[in-house]
Amino acid sequence: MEYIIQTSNLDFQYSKHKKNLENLSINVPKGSIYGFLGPNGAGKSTTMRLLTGIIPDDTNSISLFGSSINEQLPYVFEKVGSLVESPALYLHLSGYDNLKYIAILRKIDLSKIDEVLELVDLSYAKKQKAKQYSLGMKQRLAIAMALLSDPELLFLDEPVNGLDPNGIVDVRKLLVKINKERGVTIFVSSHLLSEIEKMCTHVGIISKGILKFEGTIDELSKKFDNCKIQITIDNAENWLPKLEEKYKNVVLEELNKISIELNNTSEIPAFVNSIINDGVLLYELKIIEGLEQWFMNLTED
Amino acid sequence: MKKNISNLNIAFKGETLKKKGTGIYTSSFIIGVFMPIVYFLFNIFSDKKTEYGADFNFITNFVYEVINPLAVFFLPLIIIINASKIAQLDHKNGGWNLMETQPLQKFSIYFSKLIVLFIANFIVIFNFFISSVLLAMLLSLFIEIPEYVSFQIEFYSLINLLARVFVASVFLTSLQYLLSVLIPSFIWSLLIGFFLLISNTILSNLNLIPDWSPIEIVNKISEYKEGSDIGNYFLYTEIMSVILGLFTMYIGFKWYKNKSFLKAFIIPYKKVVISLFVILFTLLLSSYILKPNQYKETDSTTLSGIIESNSFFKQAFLIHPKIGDTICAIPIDNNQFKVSIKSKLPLDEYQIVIDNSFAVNIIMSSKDSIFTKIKHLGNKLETKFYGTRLAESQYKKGNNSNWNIISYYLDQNQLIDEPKLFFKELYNAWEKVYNSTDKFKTRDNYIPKSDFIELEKKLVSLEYLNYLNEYLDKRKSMFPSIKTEIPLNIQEIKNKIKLDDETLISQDLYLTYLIYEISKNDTRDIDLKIKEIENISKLKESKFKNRLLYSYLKTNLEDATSSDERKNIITSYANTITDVKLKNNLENNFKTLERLGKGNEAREIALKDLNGTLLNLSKFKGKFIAIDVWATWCGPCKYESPYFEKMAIKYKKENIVFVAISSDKDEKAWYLDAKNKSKSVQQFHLENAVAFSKDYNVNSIPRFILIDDKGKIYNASMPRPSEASFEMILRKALNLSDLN
Repeated sequence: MEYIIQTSNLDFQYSKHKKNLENLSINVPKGSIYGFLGPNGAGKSTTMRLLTGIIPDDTNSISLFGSSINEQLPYVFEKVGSLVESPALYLHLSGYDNLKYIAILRKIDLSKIDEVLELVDLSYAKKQKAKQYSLGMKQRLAIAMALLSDPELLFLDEPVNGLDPNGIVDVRKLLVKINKERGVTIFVSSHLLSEIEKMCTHVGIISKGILKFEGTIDELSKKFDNCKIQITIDNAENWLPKLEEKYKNVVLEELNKISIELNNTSEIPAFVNSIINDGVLLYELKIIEGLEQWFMNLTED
Repeated sequence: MKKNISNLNIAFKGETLKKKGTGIYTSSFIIGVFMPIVYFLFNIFSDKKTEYGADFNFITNFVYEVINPLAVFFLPLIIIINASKIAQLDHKNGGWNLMETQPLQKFSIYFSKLIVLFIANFIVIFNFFISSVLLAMLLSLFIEIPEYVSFQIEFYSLINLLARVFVASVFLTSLQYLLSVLIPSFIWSLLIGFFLLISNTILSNLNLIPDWSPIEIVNKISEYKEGSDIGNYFLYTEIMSVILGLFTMYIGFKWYKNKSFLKAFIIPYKKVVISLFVILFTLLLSSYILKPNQYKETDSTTLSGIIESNSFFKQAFLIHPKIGDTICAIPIDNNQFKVSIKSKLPLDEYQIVIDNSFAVNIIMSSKDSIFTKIKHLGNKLETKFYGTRLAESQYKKGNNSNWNIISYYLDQNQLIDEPKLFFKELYNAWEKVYNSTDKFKTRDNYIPKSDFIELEKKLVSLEYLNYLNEYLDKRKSMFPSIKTEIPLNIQEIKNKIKLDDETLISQDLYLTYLIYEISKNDTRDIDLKIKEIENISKLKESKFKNRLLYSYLKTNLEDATSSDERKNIITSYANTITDVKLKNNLENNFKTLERLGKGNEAREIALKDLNGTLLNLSKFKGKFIAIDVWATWCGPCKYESPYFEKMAIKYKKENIVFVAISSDKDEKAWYLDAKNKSKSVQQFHLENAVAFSKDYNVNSIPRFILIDDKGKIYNASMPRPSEASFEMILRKALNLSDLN
């Protein structure tokens, strides 16, 4: 497989006493949407800064497009778009001028600007100064700046921060779209799994500077053998002892809600059949423990 | 290389877009035109009268007037503000990170912003010059200006000045930019900049600012507007600005690129070598530029010059003004002269007397080669010296007015009862002045030759030793019975001055000191002058003794108040001088003074009046004649004229005429000036200046002479009319009662 980003045993520390990144080896395949996950303070931003050369890579352990980043700076950015420590904007300039600035530096035809403004839905505000933008608009403008040059690789640091739910959905759609249509590899960081779980093809999970997991979304799901569900039924208290006889970890969560642990999601249809036959009046059934729960646990340690 | 330049160019275009709305160029433009506009308006609305010299260039003068506030305040101010502004653009909202994730080299990022600053500087300076020139032209339409004032735009010198201001600002700009990039806080970089600006003003008043201070380099422009004395395009401080500017750019760029001081200059350790090399190179280059230059002796002694004037001169004499000795005659051809001097000249201040109409003082010695530019136009005399005594000629100028606490104490009779305190103050004052004697540098970093500095140090010591002696006298008369101990440190000053130092013989300070020293142990109660001269006579026979006697007797002759006193000096002591030449000089002096004594025949003076008619002074025989000898170029004369006129008006009913005689070479200048004067004084032009100055012993003007109604001299050297004694003598001569 061809990897666009690779680090091999990357170590980094700001001060002598505390390692911020330890032995970090990540591999981002070409054409993937790679979700880089971790709680605040895990080292995501530091990794992002290292990958974009803002912090010099003194140990020479980062490669982009198959060769060392140090040899390629700064011209590697001709094919890399980035949004680091969002949103880096010139607030005294209009949205259009912010994009024009990037266009000048990257020698891009100015006609691209309107195109990308349309893409992030900011055409209506392009003459407004960026300082008058809402947080969501600023975020979208910053994404537009990263996308302007049709990059092969896109770094996005917490891109949906501060967006409303609709905005989050829009950005997700946008990223999936450019990934599918143009084959852009996207490296996106977030501290919320749910935000990006749905669009990523690959995931890397970092905690306290150490990579805890790396693989495809499917591989991640497979990590969870058992399956915890929650049912909403009438007379939950009465049914509780009967269920406890048959299943593991049966807990009365609320007045009419019971959680039960099954061995596998494939056991769910049989489970439903069985309790309905027993006469349970079932209103709702949902899977309550997946990746998210695991992720939460990871970060609590 | 080509790629780097195009990358820089792209970054620069980006910066140009980014600074939109920040007003960097606009405020630079406003600062540039601000002072010219203020000065323009001030001139239109004020009644201030400008003195226009003969070679006055209106436009250049306008620029020179307004460049002071620019160089001292406004330019440093806008540099500090602009540097902060341009760095803040990217300190806010992660601009640096944004730029660093673009295909831009760090070099391009750092220097594209610096280029914007240099362009802003250029906008300030360029608009300053353009607006000054235009407003000067406009101003000439509003105010009255004499016809002879020039309006030519002196392109060469103005462009030179413009280039110098720009180059002088390089160091400050790159330093302030470095600070602004490294310090993210807007406030701190501004505060440091303002602190530099203010502390520079304070410290420069205390003479504590080094030549290479970034703000001082810019300030120097206002002090040295005309640029180099020796034809360099830039002053040495401006060259320092470039060297230190480049050094600062190197430091700033490396620091920015590596984001930490250690990584930029120390780690890995081979960087230490490079850093040390750069520092060493800068230090060596700086010390080479900052090292003061001194002229070497030349093989022969030559004196040359050029006189810029409307009239033509024929001959000059190089004389020693104290001894009155003529060293050589200098033929002048087409107002240029060049002479090589064979006789040995000790270091001293000499005089070039040109056609007996004016004199120029010059410091020189043997093995000097000096070129002098003399501008004698209208009522202005301006001299400039070049060559081996360049620094010395400026040294005197800068050292004229020193207010002196010690002489104040003596005048006020303070501290007479506190010798310890007085000696402490005396020593401190002496030390300060003594140590500052070798601090002087010209704008091109030339310092006086060591013989001159040595002489200057001796003169400083002499000045303070004379104060010491004056103090001792005062103390002795106040406390006759107490002996005053002179402390060791004061004794050290005394040890610096020998009692037979030939290099000092023409110095009045030395004469005063010597005479005091050789007669102080003589306790006889006789006339001080007799005591002094007897003590001089006791000295061993030498050239030194002759000179000393000569100077002493000459001074006494001039100070004598009666013919008897003069005769007494000559008959008693002239023969003690064994040098024939000096003795003759003294006797000639005596004869001239005698001839001009009261009651002697006043020699004829040939004159021309305002109508061009020739006449002689004797025309006024039968009346008293008060004469004011003046010239249009002589400042003190002009000061005295109104007082002279006042006397003429007050005494117009008496049997006296008041005449003003101009010794101007330039008859036109005299005519223009004299025509407009009060009619109560009759105006004449001197026809034979050489004869007149010999007949009446006129060495300097203004000079006031009173001749009686029988054509005899009443007083050949009257006090100035601004002094009360002038009128007293006048009234006595006219037989009028004393004023109450």
